[in-house]
Amino acid sequence: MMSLRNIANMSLNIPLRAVVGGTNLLGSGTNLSNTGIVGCATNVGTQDSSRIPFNRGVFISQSTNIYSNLAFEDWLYKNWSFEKRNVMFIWQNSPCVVIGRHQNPYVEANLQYLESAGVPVVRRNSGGGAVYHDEGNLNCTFFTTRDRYNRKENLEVICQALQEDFGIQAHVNHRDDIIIGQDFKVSGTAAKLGRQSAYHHCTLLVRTNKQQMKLALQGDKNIQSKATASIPALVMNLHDANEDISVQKLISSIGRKYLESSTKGIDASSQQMYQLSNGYTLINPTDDWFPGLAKVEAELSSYSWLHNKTPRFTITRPVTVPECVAHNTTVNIAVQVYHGKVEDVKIASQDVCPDVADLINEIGGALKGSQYTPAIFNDLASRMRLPQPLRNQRSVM
Amino acid sequence: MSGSAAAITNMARLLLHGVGSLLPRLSASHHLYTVTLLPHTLHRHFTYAATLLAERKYTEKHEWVAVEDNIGTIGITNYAQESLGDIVYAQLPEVDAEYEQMEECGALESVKAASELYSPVSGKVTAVNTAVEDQPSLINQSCYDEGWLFKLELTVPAEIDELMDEDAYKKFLKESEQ
Repeated sequence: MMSLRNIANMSLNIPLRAVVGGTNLLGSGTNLSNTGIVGCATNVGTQDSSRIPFNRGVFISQSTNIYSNLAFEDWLYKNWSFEKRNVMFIWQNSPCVVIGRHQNPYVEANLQYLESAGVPVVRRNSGGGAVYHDEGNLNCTFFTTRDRYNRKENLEVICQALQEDFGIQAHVNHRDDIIIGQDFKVSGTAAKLGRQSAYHHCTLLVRTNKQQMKLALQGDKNIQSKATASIPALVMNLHDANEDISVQKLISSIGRKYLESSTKGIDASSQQMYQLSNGYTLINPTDDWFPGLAKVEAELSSYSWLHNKTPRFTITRPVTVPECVAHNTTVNIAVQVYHGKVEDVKIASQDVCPDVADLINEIGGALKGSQYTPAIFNDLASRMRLPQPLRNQRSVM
Repeated sequence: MSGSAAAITNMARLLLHGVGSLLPRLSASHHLYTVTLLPHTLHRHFTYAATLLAERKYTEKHEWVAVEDNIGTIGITNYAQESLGDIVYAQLPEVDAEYEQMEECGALESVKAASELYSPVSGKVTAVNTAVEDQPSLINQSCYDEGWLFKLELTVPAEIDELMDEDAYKKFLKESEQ
């Protein structure tokens, strides 16, 4: 990670702050804005409290682990006060799919493919749709107090960086996507709002593998669901618009623009003073530095967080009845799932012979309350071959 | 336009104007949606809710709670539903879960932002509004009536007295509009 350090140092021409240590960062009881790990001067001159905070910090993650980065984002949101300082957190991940808080992983991602490819699927805390991350994708999270939450302002910083440093004309649309060229999306946005603090994060497609992205995000569309759906869009990589662009260059460009934008409209001498006190910090998101992080990471990577937060949905699949039960018969079965557990199993075909229907309803009853997996349809079919009471045995899950 | 309808529309404009000055811009189409619907909800508000109005208490985070027989019904205020925009998903607490006052108990998702829900009083959840789980737009359309969120059995009834009543909340809204 020395390269990041050098780039940050060189581009901003100011002393680089130390890598964040855990000793200054305590639990939620402490207001940390004055202990300043970046040593910000919080009472420079006569700072009018109603003006925007001029103290800003850019945190760059040294990890590409999606769980660590998401956990750190959550940690910062819960444990810091942004009254006196805004923070932008910049992070990248090795390949993964991230879905919104209220989405359905089966609908949004090709879970089978991703499992076989060893690509994790993760549910985040903010709303919005599903995204594919890899090292060619950059994530930026803007932390502010709830009152200062302003997505357009944050996205403008990015657009300015793209325009001034790379000559790319980008604009923000009504959905807070960043669009370039003929309506190609390069960035999507999501946010989380709490009582005191809020964060807005967005992706940036720099040089992502679009083929992998397409394969990864091909979910099962035969699902009826109340979950928030992703809105598909035509995407392109920033690298296609300007071959000169790279993730590292973009990090220093956006970082610089973010820090500079805090000092608009002040006189030159004060400007310099603020710029000296704002800066970059490299973050190592581990439990040693940030106590409590491991717990958040464990929750984010748990089976239950991914599957049992899914809103109610109904998945319908055809099941072939075993020959010993009925000849040449296929029945559509609709399984209703709530928070990961089977709520109801219904027959969704017409004209099913009563014996088969009874059998299916009997087994369906036994399956209620069990943890849903796509294997349930085969399980149902297999159980039809078994005699009582074996076919109604509760599965051990 | 008749006098009372004009008054209602003006109130609607004031509310919208106030919201617009503080928060991310609502889309143009949303403005139209709210203007046509607001007079209707206000009308219903006045006709049947005389006693309900008296019982409703408000928090600074724009939630309301109406208590009857120690069971509090909780929802968000009109100001909150307007500022959130079209709600696309309501993540409600589980029945039998217990919460302290101001503890996070759920979230409302709108325009890609998940906004946290806080329990205005301490208690144990007795019911959640499943209608709102299926049709989150009910919260936008009828935030004081059909768009209620959950009910809980109060464990510290005295907390109700600390909350704002209708007039105090209206005053609070006016002051925050500056």
